[in-house]
Amino acid sequence: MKAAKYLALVIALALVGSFVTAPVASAQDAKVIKIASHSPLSGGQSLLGTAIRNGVELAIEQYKKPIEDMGFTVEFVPFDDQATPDVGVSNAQNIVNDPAILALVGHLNSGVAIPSSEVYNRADLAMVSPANTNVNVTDRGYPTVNRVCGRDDAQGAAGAQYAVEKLGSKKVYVLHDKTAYGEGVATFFAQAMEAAGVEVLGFEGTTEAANFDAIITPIAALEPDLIYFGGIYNQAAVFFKQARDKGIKANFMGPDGMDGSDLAKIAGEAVVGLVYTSAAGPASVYPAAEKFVEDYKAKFTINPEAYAAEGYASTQIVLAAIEKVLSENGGAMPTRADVAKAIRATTDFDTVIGKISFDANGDPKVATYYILQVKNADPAKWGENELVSSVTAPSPLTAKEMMEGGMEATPEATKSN
Amino acid sequence: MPALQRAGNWINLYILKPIGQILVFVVVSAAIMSALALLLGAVLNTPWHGIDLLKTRKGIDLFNQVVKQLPDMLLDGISIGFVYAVIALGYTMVYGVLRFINFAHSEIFMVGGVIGFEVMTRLGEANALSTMPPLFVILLMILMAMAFCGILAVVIERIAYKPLRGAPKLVPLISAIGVSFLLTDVVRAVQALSRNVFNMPYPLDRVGNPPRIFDLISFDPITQLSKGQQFLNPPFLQTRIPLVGNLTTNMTTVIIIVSAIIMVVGLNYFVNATKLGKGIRAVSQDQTTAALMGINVNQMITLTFLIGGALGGAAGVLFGLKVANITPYIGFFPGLKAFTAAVLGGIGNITGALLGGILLGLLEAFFSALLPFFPALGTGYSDIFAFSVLILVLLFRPTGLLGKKEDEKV
Amino acid sequence: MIQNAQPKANPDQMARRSAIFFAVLLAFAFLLMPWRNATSGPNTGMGLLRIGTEYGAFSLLIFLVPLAALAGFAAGFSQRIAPHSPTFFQIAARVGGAAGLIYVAVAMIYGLQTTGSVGGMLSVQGMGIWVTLFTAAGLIGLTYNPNVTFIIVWIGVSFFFVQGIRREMTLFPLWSSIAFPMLTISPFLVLSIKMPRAAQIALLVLVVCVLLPMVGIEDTFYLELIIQISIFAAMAIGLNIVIGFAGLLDLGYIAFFAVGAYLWGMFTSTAADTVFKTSNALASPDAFWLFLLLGVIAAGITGVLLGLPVLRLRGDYLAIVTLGFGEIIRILVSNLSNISSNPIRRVNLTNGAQGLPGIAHPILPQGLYDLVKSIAAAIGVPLNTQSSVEAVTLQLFFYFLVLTVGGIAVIIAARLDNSPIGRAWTAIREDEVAAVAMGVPRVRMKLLAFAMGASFAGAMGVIFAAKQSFVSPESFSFIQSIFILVIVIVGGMGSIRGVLLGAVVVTLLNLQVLKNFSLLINSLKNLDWVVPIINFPIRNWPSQLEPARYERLVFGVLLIVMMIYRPEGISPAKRRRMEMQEAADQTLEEAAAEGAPRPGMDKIE
Repeated sequence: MKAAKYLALVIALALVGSFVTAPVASAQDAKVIKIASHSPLSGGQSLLGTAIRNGVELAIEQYKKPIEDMGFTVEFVPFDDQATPDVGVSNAQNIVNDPAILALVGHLNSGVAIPSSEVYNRADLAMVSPANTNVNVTDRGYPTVNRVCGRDDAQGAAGAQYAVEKLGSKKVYVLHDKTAYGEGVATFFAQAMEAAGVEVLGFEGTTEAANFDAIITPIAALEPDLIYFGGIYNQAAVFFKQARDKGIKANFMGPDGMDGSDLAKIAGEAVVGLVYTSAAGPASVYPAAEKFVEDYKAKFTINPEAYAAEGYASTQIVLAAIEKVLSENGGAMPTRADVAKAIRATTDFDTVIGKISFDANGDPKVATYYILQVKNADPAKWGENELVSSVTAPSPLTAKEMMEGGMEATPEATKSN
Repeated sequence: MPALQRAGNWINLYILKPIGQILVFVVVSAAIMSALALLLGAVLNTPWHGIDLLKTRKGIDLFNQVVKQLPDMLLDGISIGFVYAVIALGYTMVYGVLRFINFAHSEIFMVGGVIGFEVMTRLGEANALSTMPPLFVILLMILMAMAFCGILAVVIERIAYKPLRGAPKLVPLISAIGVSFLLTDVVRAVQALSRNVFNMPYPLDRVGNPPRIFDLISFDPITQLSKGQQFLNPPFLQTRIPLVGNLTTNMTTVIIIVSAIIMVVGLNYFVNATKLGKGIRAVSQDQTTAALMGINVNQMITLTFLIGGALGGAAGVLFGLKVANITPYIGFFPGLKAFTAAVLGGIGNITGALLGGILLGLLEAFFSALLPFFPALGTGYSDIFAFSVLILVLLFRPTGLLGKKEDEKV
Repeated sequence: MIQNAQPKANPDQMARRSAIFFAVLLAFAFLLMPWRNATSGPNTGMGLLRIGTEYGAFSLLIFLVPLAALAGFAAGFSQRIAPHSPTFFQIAARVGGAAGLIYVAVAMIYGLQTTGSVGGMLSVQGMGIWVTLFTAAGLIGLTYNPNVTFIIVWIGVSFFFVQGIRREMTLFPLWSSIAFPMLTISPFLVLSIKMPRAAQIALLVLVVCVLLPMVGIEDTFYLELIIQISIFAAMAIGLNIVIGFAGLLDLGYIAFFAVGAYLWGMFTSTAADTVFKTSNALASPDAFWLFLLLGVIAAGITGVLLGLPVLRLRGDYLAIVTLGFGEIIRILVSNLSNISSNPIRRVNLTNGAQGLPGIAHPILPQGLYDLVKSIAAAIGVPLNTQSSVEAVTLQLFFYFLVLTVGGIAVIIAARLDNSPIGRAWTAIREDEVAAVAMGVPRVRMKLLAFAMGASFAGAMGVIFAAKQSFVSPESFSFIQSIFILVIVIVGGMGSIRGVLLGAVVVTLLNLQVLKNFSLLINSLKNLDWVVPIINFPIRNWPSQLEPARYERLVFGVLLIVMMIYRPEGISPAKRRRMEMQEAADQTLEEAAAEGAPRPGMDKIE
């Protein structure tokens, strides 16, 4: 009897074993190309994550025609990374295992982007980041990691240059939101300010999102003439409003995280006059931006928040690269490596936020920072913010090349109006 | 005459005494905190034994800074402390009756803030915000939020906690965490569908202020703010209220403090002087005995949630008035702080929640405002200090400042 | 089926229930499952029930297969109940079995016809094999232990289910979130079903060490899932010691995980400069094993440090202090990027909010890479690029490492539970005063609980940092502590098996099932699918209500429902279940008391 039991077991195991070696057939004629977006869609940062997602969806809708004409279906797959590294990495594995996903636009948080891109890179999957400004994202030199936004070091320096030269700041107080983004850009801003001989009265990080009273008190006592907030507008707006209410008269400044009409909606009069740097060109420079805003509003019934345009631009690049690969290989399903190569080769490509070329690390070769000033407390008129200056900053690699070529590599400012 | 005397006694017992108690708490904690801060300022003004961590920022006279900032720190601390106290009351009441941490209370608080936003925005859309008396608007917001959140808390109790009575303590805690996830996302979904918004800014400037044409093309914030020209009417909530000397505060702070005091006094009266309050107290002492005495335990628990929820809702509106913007995720940190406050004061104890709230508010205000002068530390550490104080207090008083020693059954 | 779940159910009922359950499962699988290769286009694959196609002809036949299996099982069970009476079930089993065999034959012929090859015959979209398996299992069930048969079929079904589905299928998210959880919970079924010890161990090893990694090599997402499950499981085991055994509510458990992760991170990251960068010797990847040990020790010491001040505290006071402690650790790591009096030129330990990039992982011998490559090739998943070989090998290495460390944790926890120490903890948990009076060394026992619990998390932290190659404060937030607590409670506090099961269920729910649900809706949207009956085009679903954005909501609802309907957890400890029963009785008593006349009622009202 016992022998019979084991026999049964062995038979069962053999059965199991025999299927293991059964031929693995691969699916044919799967003519679907998927493009993923990967950003926090739930949680406190879902506002911006959703903006990225929406930007990607809109761009796919508008630019998928040429690829579909070649006999492919282009699909959009949104992923939610919950702004958590573990979830991001797990999703990344999910993404790389879907062979139809040829590229992704993603990540709002550098803390999620860095570990997730390790996974993408191993699978040759190209990532174009709309929002990760942290230097570590591209400094690893991966062939698959690109970004359309500028780097913290360049953006901080661009802001500092304007603050010193145009605003004539003498005493600055720097705040950040204790995220990789806010702390990064604020650090570089503060360093640049100090290098320019400006007194940095304070450099503080806070996760507070609502009640800034206690943080404002020492600022009021120190009387700076400029306050820089490295962070995102829905936190910054509350701070700015409370600071003005407490009678602080300093100028306000911030990075591209300020670029959202909700800033004006929350802070109202308090942010009129605020200056922010942004890698996304305003409608006055890029007429395409105006159409984007209209289309976005028509589809999603809201104003595009920060990084929606960058998400859209990233997708434009991705789609153009896929199209290029398709036309070169005669309409066969492109491989991920080819798509990654084509994306990296992007040169002077016109996107909704400006012309973009990638350097060997995936940074935009020359990032142009537009320095904009809020002119109106009415959120509906956010698009009318005035372009007060623009600063171009070459990426570190480009700067190195230029140095070797004997050219001047310092950022140059051009006053545009 | 006896009637008058009785009335006098009543006022004395239920109005003057609690207010006096609150004042004592505020004054004593403020005095202790100020004294400590000044002492610290004096001691650390010169580099202290060369310890890098305690070095102050170059060119800063710490003692002078403390003196300069003291009034602001005290006012900030007290006003946020009252908000914490009102939220903490919700935690502490539920805990007192059910011995259970109502994790979802921070979300009920958030819903209160959202209701405040809805009322205000709807009034604004009806063009009533600028014409109605401001105090009436605020009263309406608070009452609506109280009603809604009270009922919401009762509904939550019915659905998610009541079936779990008698289960081990952690079970309703997990259920409460579930409710908390649920509420944030429901609010987010509702707001996304109805208004397509995430941020819910309070239109504070429009309270009692006629709508103004946005004509700011040549607006220069620095020069015009200093001249005080930017508003045709100063917004009601920014009206400066003179205090001692040339010290002023704004209307929001006064509203927060006054309404918090009214709520605390009202709750005190309700719990100590009415039959229902007695019922709640009895249930919190011993459910079985209370049931034997003929008290409807379920009713008392429902009532507790109703009151706790209503207080949470009111606190949400007060918080919204203070910070001007509500999001579905705003509840977590104030909730955490308020819970800490409740424990600090001795959880289950209404007076303790008040004391804990004020103390925590002051601690937070002092640490956040003074730590920036120590560059090696910074504001980021303020929560560490706040929690350290909590741990220290619990070391010496394991049941909180005013908590009674728990009976140990032998 | 699962004998523990329904102790009072009578065997006959059980047999019938499990048979019906199985039949439904199979019918579902056979009717709807899109088979490998059965997809002719990217957007088809709605399963075999496609009337009007060549597969339609089979659909009728296919109904017979579940019938066969149903019959086989029922027969197996009924025979155990009444061994000598031929029953309806036995007759049905034979009929069903015969039908199954006919089906196999037809399917094979069809396969030969359509593909013209023997391979095609064997794999008429894999169906022939499946049916053989079921029929065989059904027949074995007649003669042999039905429990073993059941579990073999379960494992077989889920394994081939996972293997059979392909990413190209529209409904992939749905299938994969049924199939993969089925496979991952099979070890628990093995454990909970009565069978010979040898068979139990063999099946466990088969699933955990062979089938799961195999599935993982094919689709590295599954590999990632099982690693994360194991990490969370090991941490939940640790938390279970603190909460479940010793009854100390810890809401800041993730802090110990952070200690381990940052310990390894700070010494090997490329960003932690000034202090540690000079000492490159310490930062060698070879030191990993040493640091694994150090992580255990460091976290254990941290646990004692937390334990010391809170010894006198009870219940909820303890909860808030541990919560505060967790926050303190998180705030510390996000602030220790600047510990000098100059605010901008920083002395950097943890790189603050930027996180530590480029954390080293142990260097594996080349032979291991080659081995993995050849195994992968053998199971038909050629790893073409060097980077993919590296990635898969590393992931497999971490999986087995976590499995080993987790296994040690399980053994330690299980031994502790049944040791004098475990009994001392139980005593403290149930009645501290009495325990102390009986001579239980309270201080030492409580500290030991904190240290033991913490040390598991510390080890996992070191592994986590090496696996992610990046750590930042975001991974150590309060929500993560709550997540582990939820695992412990949902699984069944105090029960090791329950906690492990909780880790599987909660992690899969969070990382796979809920995500897949969103993906499913998304792909249906891409298909322009119209919900039948109500005729609602899913494309019109507002994007504000996209399911990807409301995963937490679903999670919350599930938690509430779970707590209401099964508060003791999925697989509770015996003692806990008894307590629950007691509590339920008490509630009844209370209800009775309420119903009693209430003299003072009118006064209160």
